[in-house]
Amino acid sequence: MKVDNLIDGLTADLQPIQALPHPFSRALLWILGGVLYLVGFVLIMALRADVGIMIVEPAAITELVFSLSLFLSGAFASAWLSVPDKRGQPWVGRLPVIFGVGFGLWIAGRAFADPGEIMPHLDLHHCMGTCVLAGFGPALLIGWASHKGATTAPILMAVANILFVTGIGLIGLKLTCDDDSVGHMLLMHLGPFILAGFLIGLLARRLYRW
Amino acid sequence: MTSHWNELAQLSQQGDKRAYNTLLSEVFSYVRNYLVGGLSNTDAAEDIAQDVLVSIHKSLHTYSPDMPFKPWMMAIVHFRRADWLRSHYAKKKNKQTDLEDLAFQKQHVTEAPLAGEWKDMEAAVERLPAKQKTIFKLVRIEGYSMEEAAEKMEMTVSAVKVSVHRTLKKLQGEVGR
Repeated sequence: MKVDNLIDGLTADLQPIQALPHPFSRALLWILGGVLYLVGFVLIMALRADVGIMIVEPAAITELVFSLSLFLSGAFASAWLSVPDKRGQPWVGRLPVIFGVGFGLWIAGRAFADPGEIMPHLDLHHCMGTCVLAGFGPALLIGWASHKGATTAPILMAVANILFVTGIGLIGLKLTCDDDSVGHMLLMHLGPFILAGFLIGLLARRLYRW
Repeated sequence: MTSHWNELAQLSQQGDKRAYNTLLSEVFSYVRNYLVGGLSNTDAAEDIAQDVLVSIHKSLHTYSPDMPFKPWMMAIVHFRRADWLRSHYAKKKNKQTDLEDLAFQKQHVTEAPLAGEWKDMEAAVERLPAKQKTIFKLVRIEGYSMEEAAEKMEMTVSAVKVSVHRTLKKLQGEVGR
């Protein structure tokens, strides 16, 4: 029978396996990698001159907290989603989506409260290129690490990966770019990540195939 | 069964081929029987069950020995079934047809015993007396209500109901169910 041949073939192919570490450990490792990359990014780009003033502003603190939430929850979600049954804890995979929605509402609220800040200058700003630098390393890290697992939720995995990268990118850009207007943040900081997220989301089933 | 599979999975991760062979054989039977109920044919259930075995082989390193094996396995089963259904319906888009397209239905009955029974049923219906055959086809194949069939055949509703009931009994006896 065909299935007997398959089972015999798979059995012959079996080697002792090193099981993946607990997702918590994996996530901590990725977070450490992300932090190191962030430190390197900030050293290269240099801290903004007014960082001392920015860091105590409520709006800035809120945005940094949201960005940190995306970064951390993206790491944990990616790790949990690498296991087919998410270790019986599917809610971990949804955390970055919840924080992402919260962040979106915050930005919408800011835009509504100060519509004068919405429209940035529509030119090629250096922040777009900086965005790529801020996200490139973390994207490689999380993409490679996620493929070590076997996700049964490829689209959610793509979202978690992108939000992990976005979180790091936004923190880095917040610490190095002195333009705090909501329009600049939306178009120059968030825009590239949203575009990348959309493309990766469309290709998720193919990218995370196993 | 659950703790038995947990043990087999742990032994398999250590490279125990006998345990692995047993695990895959038992999983295949379980998964195939699980899928048969919800799919249109057993060939599909077999295909998906084989995909599941390959997926288990590829992802065995993601199974944690401190967690139960069955939920881990069932997550893979549901994932592969969804994959198969997505592909199946995508390919069938240009194959939509009416239920009355008997040629299409016969083509997609892949179980040999069922295909034979389909032919037996067709032949049995054709052997019915003309009026009985017409009433049966109107109600059971063309979808007329009892009232509509009665009006068309110029009979009472109760006469139509009795005719259909007797026809079904006769067909059950001839086809053997």
